[in-house]
Amino acid sequence: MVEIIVCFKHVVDESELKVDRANNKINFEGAKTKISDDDKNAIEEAVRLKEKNGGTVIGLCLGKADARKSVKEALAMGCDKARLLSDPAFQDGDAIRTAYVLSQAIKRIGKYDIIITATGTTDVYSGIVGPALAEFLEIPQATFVSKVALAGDKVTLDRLMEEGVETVECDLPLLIAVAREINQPRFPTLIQIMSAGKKEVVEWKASDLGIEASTVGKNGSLVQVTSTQVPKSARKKILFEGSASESSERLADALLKEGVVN
Amino acid sequence: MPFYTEDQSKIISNLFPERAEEYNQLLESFGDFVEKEILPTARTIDKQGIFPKENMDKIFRQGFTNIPYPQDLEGLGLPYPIYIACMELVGKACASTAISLAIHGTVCDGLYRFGNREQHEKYLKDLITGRKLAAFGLTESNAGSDARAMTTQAILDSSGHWKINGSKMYITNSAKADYYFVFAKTDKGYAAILVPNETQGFSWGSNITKMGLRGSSLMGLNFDNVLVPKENLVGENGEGFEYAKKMLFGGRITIAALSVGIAQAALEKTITYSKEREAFGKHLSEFEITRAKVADMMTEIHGARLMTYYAALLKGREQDFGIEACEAKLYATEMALRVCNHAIQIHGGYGYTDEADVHRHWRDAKLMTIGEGTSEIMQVIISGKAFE
Repeated sequence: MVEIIVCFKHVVDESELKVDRANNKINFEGAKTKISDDDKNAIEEAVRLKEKNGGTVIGLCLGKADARKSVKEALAMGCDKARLLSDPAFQDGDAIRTAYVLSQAIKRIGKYDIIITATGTTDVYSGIVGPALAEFLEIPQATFVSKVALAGDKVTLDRLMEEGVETVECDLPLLIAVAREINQPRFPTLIQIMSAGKKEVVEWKASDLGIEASTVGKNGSLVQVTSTQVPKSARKKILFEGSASESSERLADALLKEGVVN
Repeated sequence: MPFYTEDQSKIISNLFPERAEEYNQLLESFGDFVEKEILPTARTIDKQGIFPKENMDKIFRQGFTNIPYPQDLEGLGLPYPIYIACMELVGKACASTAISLAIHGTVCDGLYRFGNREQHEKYLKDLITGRKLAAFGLTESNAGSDARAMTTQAILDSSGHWKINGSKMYITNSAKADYYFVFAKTDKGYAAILVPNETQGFSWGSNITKMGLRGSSLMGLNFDNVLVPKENLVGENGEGFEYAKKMLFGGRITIAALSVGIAQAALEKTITYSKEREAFGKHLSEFEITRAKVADMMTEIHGARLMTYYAALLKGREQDFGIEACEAKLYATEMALRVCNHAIQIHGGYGYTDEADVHRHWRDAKLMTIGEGTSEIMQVIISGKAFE
């Protein structure tokens, strides 16, 4: 039996975002939302561990009221219950404040063996929340995890390094930040989506977690996002004239110089 | 663009205002699944004529056929338009997969409406959940639109078996199906009889190749002194033809939905292409003539979708839906051909090539104006209402 808490984020669907070309800004109005892609890998791994070892999975999401949609999807994927941390005070916090709020919620839940997060989320990909959360909880952590094997109180993990795989062993409890290579998230069936509506979802506000509102969210954060812009990608449109052999040689030189080929 | 379209979502929201959020989440999720799991297979299935068994199994596992049936039959008890919206999504992704599922669905519908409790337990549950596959055996070589001209015969013999002799033609899911819902002439007119695939004397011909829907299985069936227990009769002996008609009315809504899905796929490809392709220094999308065509395509799709979902609503509420189903089928299938034609035209020479994968939609759409009752038969039925 294993008690798992999986953290996931409700984000804007980046594939649906429109760019306002006039001022190079992203238009967030009316943008579709979803569970961050890599967080689905985290949920999938949590559910697989439960299916194999028994136990429960609690989904934990920090977001606005519209995050209920993502919470329901996580329940459809196999989480047994969920906690939605929704309070205007939590909004626009940096990664450290987000991790702090999550840690307070996890302390309130109390019992856990494994906490699972993604390595990063598809909107900002700071990669900080998982490690910071482990620090707040004072438990060990493993990041870039591509394989999890649980045996008794010990867990063996494969970590995806740039040039190889590192295998580590750790005692419970711990925090695992998974890599997207770890699994292929399932599509919940229609009946699973329907029954997700009957599962327990509790909403917690700052006061429920003993958090002083001014210490979290935008006000409590050290990092402030001042603007979001789209990188400019203008084409150079260089034309090489001359005979085929001359121009192809110059083209090759230019490609080498630009680092397109090496 | 989300696979489950905004237009679909708005219609569903307004058909079911109290459960809009729940149904839209279901359909959005199903659309997501279809886009990621089914859509990428469609070209290969068409090119190589592969029977889409794998796709169908995945879709069955999602709970697709279960949608409109009550929970005691392992159904989900959801309204019929939800099933139809899902059918549109499958049609948009892969029409070969969708047609095979549509025929299976028509048999489920017939068995549910006309079969007895025992048949529900023994056959229908397996069909609803997709553990078994069904085919619909009505058409014969000399009995297409004129289905009453069928010559396949069933005689109840002294051993308590139906003895069936004859042949059927152009039967979808042939050789792949576990159960065949077969219509035959009897002493009392016509009967519907369930024939399991492994029955002695029952065989099928070779696969018939065709211009579209190349993944679906189409064959002739042969009955050579085929014996099935008398319990395999569905409903009453003598009522078979009425059952066939009623099943086809329901099937027509699914064909309409499938056609809307095909047209939607062609429209979306056209929008994408016209934003990329340049001519005379402008994108195609900037030309009024392109925009006028796209506007017509969108309007026709929207109209067909409304007609289709409305017919589905009537069917689900057990009101008369026959004429509405025929109108939806007539309009949606002919509309799909027009929309796919525009799509190829806007793609230009590229649209005519295999590379563009646009003519697949036109080829798939063509069958829709023929199967489950031709456009001309729809006109006969609809106009019959005017002059009754």
